[in-house]
Amino acid sequence: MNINPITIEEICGVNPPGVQYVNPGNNPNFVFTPDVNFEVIPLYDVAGNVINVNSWFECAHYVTGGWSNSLVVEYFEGDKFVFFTALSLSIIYLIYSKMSQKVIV
Amino acid sequence: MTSTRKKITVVLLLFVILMPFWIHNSTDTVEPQRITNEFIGYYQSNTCDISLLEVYAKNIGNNNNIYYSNNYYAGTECFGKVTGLDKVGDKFIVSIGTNTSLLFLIQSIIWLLVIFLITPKNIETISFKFSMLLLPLLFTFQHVAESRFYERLNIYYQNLDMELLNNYHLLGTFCIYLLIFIILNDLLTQREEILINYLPFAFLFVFTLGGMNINFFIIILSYFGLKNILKSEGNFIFNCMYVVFSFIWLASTTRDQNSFFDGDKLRGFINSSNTKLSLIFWIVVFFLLINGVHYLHRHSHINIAKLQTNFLVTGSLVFILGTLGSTSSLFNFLNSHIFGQNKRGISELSSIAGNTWRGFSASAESLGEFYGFVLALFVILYMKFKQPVTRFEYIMLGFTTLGLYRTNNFAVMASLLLLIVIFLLEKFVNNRRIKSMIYTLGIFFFFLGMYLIVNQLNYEYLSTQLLYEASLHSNFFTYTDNYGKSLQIETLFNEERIYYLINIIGGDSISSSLRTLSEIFYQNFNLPIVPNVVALISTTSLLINRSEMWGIFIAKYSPNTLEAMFGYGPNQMNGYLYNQKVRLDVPLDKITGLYLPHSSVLDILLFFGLIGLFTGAVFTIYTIFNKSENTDYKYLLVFLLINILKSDSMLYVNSVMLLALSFHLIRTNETIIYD
Repeated sequence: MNINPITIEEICGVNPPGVQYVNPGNNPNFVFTPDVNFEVIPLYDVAGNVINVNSWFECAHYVTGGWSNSLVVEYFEGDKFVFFTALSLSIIYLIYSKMSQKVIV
Repeated sequence: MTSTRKKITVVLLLFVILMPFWIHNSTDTVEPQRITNEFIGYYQSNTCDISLLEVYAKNIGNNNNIYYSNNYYAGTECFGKVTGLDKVGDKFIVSIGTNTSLLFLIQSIIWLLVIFLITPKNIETISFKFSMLLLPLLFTFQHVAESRFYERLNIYYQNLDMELLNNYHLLGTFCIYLLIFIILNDLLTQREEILINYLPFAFLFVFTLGGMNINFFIIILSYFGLKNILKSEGNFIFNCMYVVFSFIWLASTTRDQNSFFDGDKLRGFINSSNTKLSLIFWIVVFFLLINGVHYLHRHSHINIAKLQTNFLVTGSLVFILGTLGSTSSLFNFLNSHIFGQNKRGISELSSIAGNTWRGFSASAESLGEFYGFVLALFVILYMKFKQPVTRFEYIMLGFTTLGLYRTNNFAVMASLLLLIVIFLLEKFVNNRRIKSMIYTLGIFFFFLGMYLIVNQLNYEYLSTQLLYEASLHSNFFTYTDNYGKSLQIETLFNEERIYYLINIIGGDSISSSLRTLSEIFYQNFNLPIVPNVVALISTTSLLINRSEMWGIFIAKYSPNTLEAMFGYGPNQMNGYLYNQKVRLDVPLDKITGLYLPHSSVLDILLFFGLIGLFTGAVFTIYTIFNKSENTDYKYLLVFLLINILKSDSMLYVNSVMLLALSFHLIRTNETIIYD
């Protein structure tokens, strides 16, 4: 997933001097080194799972993978959808009705 | 032009019907699978992804027993899609999401398009009056008044606890009603004179909104009702009487917050709650309904040829679609949405309860009456106008007769035959002597038959059977089980200690109606020749196979004096269903079943009391015996009256409208001609 560097910066903060994010690839032995100066940030995925990241690099890695610092539960607001659909249809019909009356006159 | 308009409407209709059950994400990896044991888990974990038509297409030729059931409590994103799969016995039940709010919108659009298909009488339109806003407000109020009904069936349900401007459920409901009434205002104004000729279709388009306790016909009639009131055309005496009744219902009858009736097959035309708010809603709606019928009675023009054709077409379509629904699970599912069935059609071709086949309808009895009415009307019109019968009409008659045969409604068949014979006698036998001889013979054989039955079955047994059945289902001898109870009751009846059983042992624990009937049965005075009224009802109930059902009614019906005189209120059954504690003497698997009174007279008694029943009876007798230009149609009214005595048809909107039509045919001032 391609994530804008600005988004990483918004969530993880400015990268510490000398640290750049490079994808570690599929190396199973890769270990994230904790940064004592880094304030732990909780991140969430779309399913609501949570993880605490201990370094800017680790944070950037998860953000690149689609994790975020806010729990966003996306659900379809059906009641609003029905309301606005019915409202729109009513307005459209009223306009159509007015126009067709004028045509008849 | 008209033809093009109709073609476009039909295409639109097909689109609105099928699209919601077809839409799916074709780019996802979730594919429909054959419904078998191994894919139950697959469908349970992949919810709201696979559409109904996808599943159906994938399972063409699958011999497993598949049934598509509704899931009203699903979100709009799951509409028309599989929300689960379960196996009960050998039946796979596929749950399809049909969110109540969205279904309300979709069904309303479908039915408005159906009304649009009726060619208008004029192109006049009137602007939507501000006062008409009362109607959407009234019907939205039902969602607050019957909150227990709606909160079970709509995931978005919000009561007034939520701030109104954020309550999108109520706002959405109001907007849909507003849309309906704005469009109806145009559609009905242009068609109000001819709408009556399409009334037969009420048995095809039942119009009960899915997941809701309202029927679209009530919405339509309320529109006419308000129009009647705004034009000050209402019947003054009726309206005054209704105000008095309403005041008594609101002020004096027993209400509670707890009882709840889910409506079952009466959904759409029954009060689900017993609160004051729900009572107010149904009082106003019923008032509008009667005024609506009155308005249509004054403004309608009957085209009897059209009416007859529509009856035959409906009779045939109901039978054909009922059969299709019984053989195809998809049709069975779609029928319920397109036609607004208040109960799903029967899912197999074999009969239920050992004999009847209700097919498309919620009630085999009311459908049988409809078929009988169609045949009776056909005979009357044929004899009256001598119009040649086309081949198409013969075919439709065949379907209608087959439909009547399958409902196995003996009462309809017998009364139909009897009335046709009397009609033909009146029409073709001009010699008064021969006529009176035939009638005398008929009456003689009737009484002879009665005499033989009474002699064979024993008068004691016939006259007390109703009290016996009522006692069996009452809460007697609580220390023993049903078998022990029935033995003790039987012993006391055999010893003729019925009064002792009901009034001393029963005391206050039994229904007031059972106590009253036993007092009438054991009255101190005896008029010679005149039979005891309880004995007469008991004998009748036994002869028409209603003693058990009427017995249950008596065991359950326990009104106070005011409720007995004025009823519980329009379409209010909770007082009857839950107020009186009973112990039904029926098999265990049937103990939780819905036991309706099985007589429309008793239904009217429940809702409007003895005074309401008496008023209705006077009006009916007056209609039958008053001179009319259209005497022949009185046979239709008598036919329906005979049959609704033993059926609950007055609890269904379409049957009520059929009865109203038969009154209209007699009372209309216009001379009905065949053109």
